[in-house]
Amino acid sequence: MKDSFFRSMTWLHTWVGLLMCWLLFLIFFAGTISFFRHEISLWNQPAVHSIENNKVQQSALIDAGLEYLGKTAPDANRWWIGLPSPRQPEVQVSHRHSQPDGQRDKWIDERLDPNTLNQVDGLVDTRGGNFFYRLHFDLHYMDRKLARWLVCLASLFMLIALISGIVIHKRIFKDMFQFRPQKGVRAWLDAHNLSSVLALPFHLMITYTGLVTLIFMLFPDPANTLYEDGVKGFRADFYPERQRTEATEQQLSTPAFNSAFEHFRLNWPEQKIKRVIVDHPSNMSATIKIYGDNGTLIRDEHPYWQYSGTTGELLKTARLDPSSGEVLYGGMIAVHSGRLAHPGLRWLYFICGIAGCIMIASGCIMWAKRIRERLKPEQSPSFGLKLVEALNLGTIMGLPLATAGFFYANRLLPADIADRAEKEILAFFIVWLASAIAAGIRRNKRVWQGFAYLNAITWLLLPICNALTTNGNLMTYIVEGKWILASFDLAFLATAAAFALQGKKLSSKVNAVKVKPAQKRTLNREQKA
Amino acid sequence: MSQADNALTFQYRLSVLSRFCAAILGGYFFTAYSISLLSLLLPTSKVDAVLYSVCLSILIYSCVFIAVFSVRSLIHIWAALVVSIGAIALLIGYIQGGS
Amino acid sequence: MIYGLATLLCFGAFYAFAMAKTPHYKSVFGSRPSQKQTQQFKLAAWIIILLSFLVNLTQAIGYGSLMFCGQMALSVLLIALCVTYKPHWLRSLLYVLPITTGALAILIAVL
Repeated sequence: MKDSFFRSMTWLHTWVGLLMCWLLFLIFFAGTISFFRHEISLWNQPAVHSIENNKVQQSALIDAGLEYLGKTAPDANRWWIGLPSPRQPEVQVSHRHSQPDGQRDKWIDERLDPNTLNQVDGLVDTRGGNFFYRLHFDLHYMDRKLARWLVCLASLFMLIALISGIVIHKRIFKDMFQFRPQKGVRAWLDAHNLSSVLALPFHLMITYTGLVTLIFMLFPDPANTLYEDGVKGFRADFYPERQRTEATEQQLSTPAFNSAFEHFRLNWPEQKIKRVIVDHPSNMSATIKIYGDNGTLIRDEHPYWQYSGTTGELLKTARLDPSSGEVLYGGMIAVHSGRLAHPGLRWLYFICGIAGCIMIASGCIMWAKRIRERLKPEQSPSFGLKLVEALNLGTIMGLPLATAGFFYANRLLPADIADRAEKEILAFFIVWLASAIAAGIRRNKRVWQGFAYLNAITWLLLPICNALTTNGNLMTYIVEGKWILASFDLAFLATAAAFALQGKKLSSKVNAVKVKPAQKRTLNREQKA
Repeated sequence: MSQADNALTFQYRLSVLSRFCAAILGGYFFTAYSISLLSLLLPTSKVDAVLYSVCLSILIYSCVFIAVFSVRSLIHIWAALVVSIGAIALLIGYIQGGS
Repeated sequence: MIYGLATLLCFGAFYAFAMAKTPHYKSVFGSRPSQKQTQQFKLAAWIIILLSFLVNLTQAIGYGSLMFCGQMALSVLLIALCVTYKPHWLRSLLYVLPITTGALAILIAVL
């Protein structure tokens, strides 16, 4: 009985893992990159690179934002002021306008330099890190709802694969540090074990909480049971700040924004503000919504204050003292999104995410290798094996290449081209498609090696491309202390180095299995001992 | 895996398909009903009851999924799923009717 | 800085975990460890890792636990790479690691 349990878990691990592994790789890859979502948005927008970190007080920035919006967009139905953070140096000022006959409202985004309070010129149209963030759970070129269900199914499979993996590999904790790169398929198994064990708490956490982020699509049932109008009713109860206020006919002549902020600062002087939203700013129903900054607290929703724009009195607060259910649910989402993380933790998140990518990749590669090893010389590989191998190569090598393509497109596309943001994304998918086609044609070791070197060269040239097309380069970033931009260049170089190493590794395997001097030394020592 | 190679018969494939259906769909409905019941039973506020039960849902789902693949007899699995889902649904109906 | 101390402690703990395993000990020091040595390493590893967790928790319970997960991943990764490619680097760490950790702890206490 016990034996058959392990056998069924092994079977489950293999098949659950294989069925969804490419989609999972995409989700993990995009998710890992999205830990640097705002940083990528910053990198993609060279016009804001020169902005110094903000030293102006928040209150002055809010006043400047309101003044700017009052001048440029008095007739908007919503104003949005995002305050600068270490990850986003500029003040974001956006305004939303109603469109005729039922079309979706239109947002116009602008940015202010927090030090000079002037509008930032020369912005390019780009999705930045938001592309990867959306790709992580909405995929692309696809119905959003269907994509999210697929992502949920893949995540569930991931969770099952993790649990069954722990059950079957009892030895993974014993051989935790073991990595034997010279031993063929064993090396892939070691890589698979190592990358899964070293970040096991992270893998379990990120998969579980990932499912929780989409939970009301997956399981609306408790809300449907307890509320008359289901999830909608629950949301109205849970998110009081999302209730709409309708515009009235009367115009607002003297807004009371200042007295609202005075009241706020008097009563919550320590509270940092994340963003300010004003609904119907020039209408009698004007409301000011203040969202507090959570800092490093493990909390997803922001504390919230709502003031009347006409009288300046406090109408409503929410989440100043969250209930235990809120703490649990919000905490899960907060640890998933990692918005709370300072650079140190953010990099640890990133390393764990990369470990997850390696875990999935090594799993798929191992499956294909095992099947191929078992083939007899005269046997030709089945269509299934060929498909798996092509998908492996196309996904594992193609995605990083496509990501580099996205960054190149951002720097090289002309600034005034129509639909520029869409073209950047198109570049990503064209490169990926090209890799997939190449993988479909041939996928032997030489092609893997070619892809590795191609990746290495592409990533290596990226900092140079950046230096040629913008005003800064790695040296100036370091001298000026712009660590976010400097780490981009360094990360590009590190990626290039990793791929070059892999290419070299593959070439040594193509020629012959040679014993490296270092290994020889250890071997000798072992023999002596 | 070697069993799989030896016995790639139609019947084997059908039983695998049935097992995946039981795990994915059966597990889904079992979880959906049991967390609905849980949300009714929790003595907290309505918002908290919903939040607690949805946070637990994935744990229940994955346990059922694993259980489906570890029990040998397919008939037992389907019977257990159908009976438990029915019982939970009846209980929910009873509680909702009573209140 | 305190998180730095916790990271060092965590790294030290996994160093001890690795050295408690005979093959890794052999590849680093060249000789077989005695059973007592193995047990000492294991005990030290558990104590240090607990210490590292506690140091993280003193900063913030939630954020500290997340840091701890990340630190474990980083430590295991580094140790595994060292054991595989540069085992002799780990030999001097037996002395360097406690000294640096102690120095950092004293520095934090003084400041």
